[in-house]
Amino acid sequence: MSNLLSLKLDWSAPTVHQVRDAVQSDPMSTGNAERAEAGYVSGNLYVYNRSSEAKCLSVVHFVSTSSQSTFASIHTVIVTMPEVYAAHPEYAFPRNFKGFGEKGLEGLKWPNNAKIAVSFVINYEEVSLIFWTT
Amino acid sequence: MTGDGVSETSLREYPATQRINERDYSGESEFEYGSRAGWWRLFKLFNDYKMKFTLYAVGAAVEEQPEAITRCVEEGHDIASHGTFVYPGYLQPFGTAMNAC
Repeated sequence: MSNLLSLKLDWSAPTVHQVRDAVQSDPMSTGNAERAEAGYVSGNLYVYNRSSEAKCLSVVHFVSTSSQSTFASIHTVIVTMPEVYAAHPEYAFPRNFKGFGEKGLEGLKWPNNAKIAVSFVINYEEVSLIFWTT
Repeated sequence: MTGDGVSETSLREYPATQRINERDYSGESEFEYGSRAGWWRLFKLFNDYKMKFTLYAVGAAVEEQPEAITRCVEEGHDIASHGTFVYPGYLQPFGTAMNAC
C-alpha cells in the first residue's frame, strides 16, 4: 500500500515535507518513463487551494493501466501549506528579470573585437560535501 | 516563490528539491537567463529570418517584462495565453480551486 494512501487513511495533518517524501517514496507516484515502461501511466496532480484560511494542498494521485486507460485509484491528501514567502527586510534583494534587455549591453566591445569569450572555471570542493550530512 | 511559499522544481535544467519559505537562487538564475538573454536571442533569430511565431506566454512571466509582449506585437508575431501561471490548477483564479478544506 502506498504511503500516500496511508496518509489519507490516517487523516493526520502531514506537512508538505511529509507529503513530498511520501510521493517520492511511493513507487507508483512518479509519472516518468520508467513507470510507463512498467505498463502504468501515473502521476500526481497538485491543486493549491488559497481560498481557505488554512492554506491547503490537495494531491490527487492517479494510476491507470495503459491497456485499460482507466483510473485505478485516486487519493486526496490535504495538508497545511507553508506561509507565502516574505522577503527578509534587511538582506533580501529583488529578482532581475530584465537584465540589459533586447539590445544587450550597449557599447560592449571585447578586446581584439572577439566574438566569443571562453571562461575557464575549476570547482575546488573536495571534502566540503561532508558538511551536508551534519 | 511568487505568491506562495514553495520554490519551483519543474522546468529546471538540473533536478531540484523544493525550498520551503527560502529562495532558490540557483533556480532563479536559470529562469532569469531565459527572460534576460535566452528569450531575446530566440526573438532575434526569428526576426532575422523573417519568420512569424505564436508566443505561448504565461501571464505572470510576461508581467515581469511586458516588453516581451509589446515587441512581439510590433514585429507582427502572435500572442497566445498559457494561463496566469504554468500549472493547470492555476488556470483558475485564486479562490476557486476544486477542493474544499
